[in-house]
Amino acid sequence: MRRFVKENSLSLFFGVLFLAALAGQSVAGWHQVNDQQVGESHDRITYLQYLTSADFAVDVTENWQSEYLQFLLYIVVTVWLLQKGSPESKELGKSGLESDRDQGVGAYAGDDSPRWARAGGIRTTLYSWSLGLVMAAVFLASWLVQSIGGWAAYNETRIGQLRDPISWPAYLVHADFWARTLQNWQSEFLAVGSMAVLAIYLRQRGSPESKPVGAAHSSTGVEG
Amino acid sequence: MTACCRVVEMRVVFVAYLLFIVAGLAWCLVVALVHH
Repeated sequence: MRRFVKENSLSLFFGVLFLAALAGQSVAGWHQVNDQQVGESHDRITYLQYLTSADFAVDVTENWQSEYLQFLLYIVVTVWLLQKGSPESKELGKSGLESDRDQGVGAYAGDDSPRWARAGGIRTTLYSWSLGLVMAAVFLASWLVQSIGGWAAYNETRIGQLRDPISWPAYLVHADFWARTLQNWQSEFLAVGSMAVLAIYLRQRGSPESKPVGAAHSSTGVEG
Repeated sequence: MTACCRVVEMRVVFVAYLLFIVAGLAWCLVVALVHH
């Protein structure tokens, strides 16, 4: 058990943090909604009602989509785009998909390589893109659910103001949808760009996200 | 501990994360569709 925890500590740590933060968000969001309800002379809602509300759904998914977009872009654009001096970049001159030999696929696969890396053809192509494809699928699904949840939540607000609800296509070009979307995107893009750039000159001893403390500022694609 | 069991452990965390994602999206989708 102790060995299991040690060898999987990264995923366990973030899994526990995720569940705790989601629980905290749900409780804080419930109180926030009830504060508004009281302010507008409406009845309070129960915790279960909040968990099954469009407000909760859109608040969760608008953050999910931006996080998955951020990592999707980071995973895919770092295939081609480089940053001199950054441990997040590949070495200069290695831009691109690289050769089968470099990637250990097809005839160059080892005995312990995944089966689809060895198989060749469409299976190897699919497997070669599997991480990006799954991140893209989760991003698109989250963004779709955000749009439906945001549409429902926004229409509930409009109906409360005695205004006509709008259609889903109309919501997709509405300021509410894009304000929710872009406020998340801007922070993700700044954070991910910062990580790539700050790590040129700054170090975190022992972290694989940093260069070794003694590495030259100009060394690129070297992890600590 | 055999190498086989360690592979199973990695699958456990992999599948657990996939379940987090799918369950979260499914919950939010159902809730959103019910309210629209």
